[in-house]
Amino acid sequence: METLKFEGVRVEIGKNTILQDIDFSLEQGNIVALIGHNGAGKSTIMKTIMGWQEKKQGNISINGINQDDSFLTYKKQIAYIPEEPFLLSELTAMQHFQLYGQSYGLSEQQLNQRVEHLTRLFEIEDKLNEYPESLSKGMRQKVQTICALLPDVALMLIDEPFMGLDVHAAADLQQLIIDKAKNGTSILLTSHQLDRVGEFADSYIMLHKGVITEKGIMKDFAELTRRSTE
Amino acid sequence: MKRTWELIRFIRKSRRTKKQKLYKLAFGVALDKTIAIYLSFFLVMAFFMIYDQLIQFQPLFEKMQAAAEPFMPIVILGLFIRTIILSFHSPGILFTSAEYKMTTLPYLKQHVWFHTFIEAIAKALISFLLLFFTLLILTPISTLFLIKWACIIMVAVLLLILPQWCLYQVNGKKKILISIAGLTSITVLRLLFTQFTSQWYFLVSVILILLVCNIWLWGKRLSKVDWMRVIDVNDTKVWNMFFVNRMSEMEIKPVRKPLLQQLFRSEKERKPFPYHRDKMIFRKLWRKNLMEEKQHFVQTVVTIILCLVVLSFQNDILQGLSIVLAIFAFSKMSASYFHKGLKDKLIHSLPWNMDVMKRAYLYWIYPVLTVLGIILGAVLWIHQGLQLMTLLQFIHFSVTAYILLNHQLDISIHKINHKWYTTPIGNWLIGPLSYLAIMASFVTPFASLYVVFLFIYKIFHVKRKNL
Repeated sequence: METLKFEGVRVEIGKNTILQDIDFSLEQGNIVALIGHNGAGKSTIMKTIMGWQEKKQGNISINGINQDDSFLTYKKQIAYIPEEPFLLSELTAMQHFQLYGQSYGLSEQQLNQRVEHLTRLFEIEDKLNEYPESLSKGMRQKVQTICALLPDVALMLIDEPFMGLDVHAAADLQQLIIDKAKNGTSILLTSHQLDRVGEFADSYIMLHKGVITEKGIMKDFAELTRRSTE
Repeated sequence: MKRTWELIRFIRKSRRTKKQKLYKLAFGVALDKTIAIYLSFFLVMAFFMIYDQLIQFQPLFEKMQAAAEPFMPIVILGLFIRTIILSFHSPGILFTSAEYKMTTLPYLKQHVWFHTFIEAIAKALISFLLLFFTLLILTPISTLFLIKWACIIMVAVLLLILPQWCLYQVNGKKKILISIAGLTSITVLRLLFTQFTSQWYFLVSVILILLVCNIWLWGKRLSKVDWMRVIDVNDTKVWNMFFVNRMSEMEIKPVRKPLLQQLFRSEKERKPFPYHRDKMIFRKLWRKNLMEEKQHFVQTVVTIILCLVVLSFQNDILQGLSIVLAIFAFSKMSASYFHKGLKDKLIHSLPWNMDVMKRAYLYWIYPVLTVLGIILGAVLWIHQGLQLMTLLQFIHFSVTAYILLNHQLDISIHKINHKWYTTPIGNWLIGPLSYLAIMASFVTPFASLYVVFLFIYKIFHVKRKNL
C-alpha cells in the first residue's frame, strides 16, 4: 500500500527549476533515503511535502489525501525532523512536547509515557523545564527529534537525522526509526552519511540537479560520484 | 594595525556595494524614472517651503533659546537614561560577524575591536556635524547657542559609547543594579550642584567622571563579552534596511530574545501547561506573535479609533462610513495576523486544530474589539443621545463586527485548508450586505433590525459547520 505519492512535481524559484517533474512513491513501512549532492533538491522535496515550498505543478498525497484539497488532514499524517532545530524560545522543552502532543491528539497519559521513555533514552530528562537558549545545539536537536517521534503518523520526514547527535543518540535514533517503520510508518530521509543509511534504509532515490537519476533497493546502491563528474 | 584597517575598509566597501545593489533593486520596484524626477522636484520644493516656514518662527526660536539654558543638566541626565535603555538592546559598537570572522584569521581581536570603536566615534561625530550644520542653515538658532549645546552633548555622547558597550555585556540583576547606581549617582551629583548658579560646574564634573569611567573601563572592554549576542544584534542592525524590507516584504529579526524577557521568566512560566486546557499553549503562542507585530497592530487600532471618532462628528453619512471602515479594517487586520501567525516554521509544521487555534487567537482579539465597541458606544451616545434606537444601532454594529470578524477568520482557515478555495457567493455577500445595512441605519434606524437576519445567519452557519 502506497503511503506517499509524489506525482509530476515541479518546483521553480524565480526562473530556476529546482525540481523537474519528480515522480516517486513510498510503500507503507518503507525506509527510503534521498541521496544526492548539495543542491540536488533533497531538502526542496522535504519542504514541498511539508507545504513550505510552493509547487508549480503536480500532486502530493498521503494515504490518498491530497495536499491541495485538505491540507489540515494531510498534515496530521506527517511528522518532521529538520536538519537545524527550530524551537520556539517562548516554550520549554516539556512545553514543546505538550504542543506536539496536543496537536497530534495524544492523551496526557500517552504523552507522559512517551516523553519519559524518549527523554531518558536521549538523556535529557533533566532538561525538561529549560528554554532552548539554555540548551546546547545537540540537546536542541534531541528535543526537536523527540517532538517528531511522539506521535504515530503515516509518514516521517527526516532531514539529516544524525546531524548534531552524539554517537549513542545517533544509534538510538537509528533503532527508533527502524521500530517506527516496523509499526507501519513510512520514512523518507536525507543523509550524507551513506554508510550509516545503508545499514537500515530499504531503498534509495538519487537526485541530481532536481532530476531523479537512479532508484533502487539500498543494497544495490554502488556509490555517489563526485558532483563535477556528472 | 595597518593590515587590519585595510581589511575593515575592504569589508565596508563590499558591504556598501551590496547595500547599494539592494537599494537599487528596491527603488526599481518602488519608482520609475518619471516618478523619481517628480519626487526629487517635490523634495527640493519642500526644502524651500520648510525653510520659509521656519524663518517665520524666528521669535519662537529666540524664546526657546532663552528658556533652554536651565535644561542642560536634564538633557545630560536624559543621555544617561538613553544609554542605559540602549544597553539592553544594542552594544553601540558595530562589531558584526564580518569582524568576528576577521578574528579567526591572523588579526588581533583588540585591533579589530579598536577599529570598530573608532568607527562608532567617527559616526557619532559626523552625525553631530551634519545635524549641527542642518540646524545652522535651516533654523534661525544662533551659532553660539548651537556650538555650546552641540559640544557638550557631543562630548557626553562620545564618552558614553564605551560604558554602553560594557553595560551591554552585563547580565541579570547586576545590570539593573549598575543602571540604578549610575542614575542615582548622577542625580545626587546634580542635587549637590544646585546651589551653584552656573551649570558649568555640574557639566564639567560629569564629563570628568565620564572620562575617569572610560579610563577604568578601557582595561575591561574585551573581558566577559558575549560575542554571539553582540554579533546577532549587530548583524540584524546592519542588514535591517527599512525600505528594502518594505519592498521585498521580508523582515530581518534578531534570532535571540532580548535579555529582559529571559531575565523575568518566572518559575511558573517554566512549568508544563495543564494538558487538558488545550487553548493555553496556543494563547501563549498567539501572544508571542501579536507582541512581535504590536507596533503595526497598535498603529492600525489607533487609526481605526481616530477614524471612528473624527468622522463620527462630521455628519450621519460620514459616521456610517467610519463604522463600516472600522469593522472592515479590524476584521481584515485580525484575519491577516491570524494567517501570518500560522506561517511560523514550527507552527506550520504541526497539524493544526483550527477550532482551538481560532479560539485561542480570539482570546486576545476580543478585548480589543470590546474596547472598540465601548468607544463606538460612547460616540453614538454623544452624537445621538441615549435612546432605544441608539441602543438597537449599537447592538446591530457590535453583532456585525463580531460576525464579520469570525467570518474573515473562517475564510482564512478555508483558504489554508483548500488551495483552490473560493468563498461561496452567499458567504461573500454577507460582508457588503452588512455594510449596506450599517449605512442604511443612519437613514432609518429600523434598518438596524438587520441584526435579526445576522442572528439567523449565524445559527444557520453554526448548524452547517457542525454537520
